Amino acid sequence: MTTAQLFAIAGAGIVAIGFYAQLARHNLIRKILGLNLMGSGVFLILVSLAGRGETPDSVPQAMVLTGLVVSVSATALALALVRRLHRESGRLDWVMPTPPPPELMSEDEESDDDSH
Amino acid sequence: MNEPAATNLDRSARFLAGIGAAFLGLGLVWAILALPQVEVGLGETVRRNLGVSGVSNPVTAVLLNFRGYDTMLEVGVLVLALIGSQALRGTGETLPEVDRDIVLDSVVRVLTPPLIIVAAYMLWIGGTEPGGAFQAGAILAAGAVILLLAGLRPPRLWHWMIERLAVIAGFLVFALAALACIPLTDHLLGYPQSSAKYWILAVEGVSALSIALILTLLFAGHPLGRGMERDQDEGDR
Repeated sequence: MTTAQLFAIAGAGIVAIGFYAQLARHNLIRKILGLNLMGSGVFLILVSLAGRGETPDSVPQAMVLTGLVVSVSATALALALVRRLHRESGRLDWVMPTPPPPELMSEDEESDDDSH
Repeated sequence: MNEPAATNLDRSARFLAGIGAAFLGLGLVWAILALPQVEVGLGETVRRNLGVSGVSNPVTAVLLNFRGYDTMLEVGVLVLALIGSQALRGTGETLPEVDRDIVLDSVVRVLTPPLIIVAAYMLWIGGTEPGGAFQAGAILAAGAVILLLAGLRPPRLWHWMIERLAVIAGFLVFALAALACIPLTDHLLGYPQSSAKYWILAVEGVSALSIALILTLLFAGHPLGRGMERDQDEGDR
């Protein structure tokens, strides 16, 4: 196994950890952290795979640089959304939306779409 | 905030999530090991064409010339994120007042000029060494965030219209440069070979300032320009 592969496999592990945090955690801040972890893992994979040749491949490096900025923007927007949610509802966690009781469903047909 | 008490549903969901994450990780490892050991990317193509790009650092050449389109849209993504986050801000939210402290004040005053110089150096060196608009923008933004944290606010002249213009300036200049290239070379963002360096420098310079401002505003969470208070009151009514 080469060094590049070792770093890339570490990146795969980081992606998996971030993915688990996103799926299994209710707290939205943790979900955002998970998203960032996944991004960092992908960046690590890309950068290490760029280093396979004698001179590093500049295209994946430029891609990671672009990705970093996009990930910062996404994080900032996600944090703004969470802040707003916290102010409106006082909550920082995500809960499974419960389907409305049946008597409500028959009156309001539009809510059908949400229950799927 | 505490996690709510785990129910049975929670536990099985977490178990499934763990299995899913493990599969994702293993799949990625398999894909990484299955890749050829030699370089098969576009690195060689970039190196061969570096001479026509106007810069000698391959990463900057890819970012600002060969794949300039990506970078232009990336500045657009930053502007979109800023619009989104400011649209979500609460009414009447301002930066908390900071107790001005003489030690903090003087440290910030000493720190800021070198940060600006380092940012300018980063921008300039981007043509030959690692560096460029985003690195310079990030350093400038760090300086601005330090100023905000120390309780120093933008000057009175900093009107909200100036702020908004400065936010979109990077994207605007990038887009104008992209369009201006069409009559010159028949390609969107295809800089004329002889003057590519100056095109890149102009686009990078304005982008760096816009990026720095956008990052600062993303940190602050609301506009910093003067003159917004009255408009905001009218909007809330």
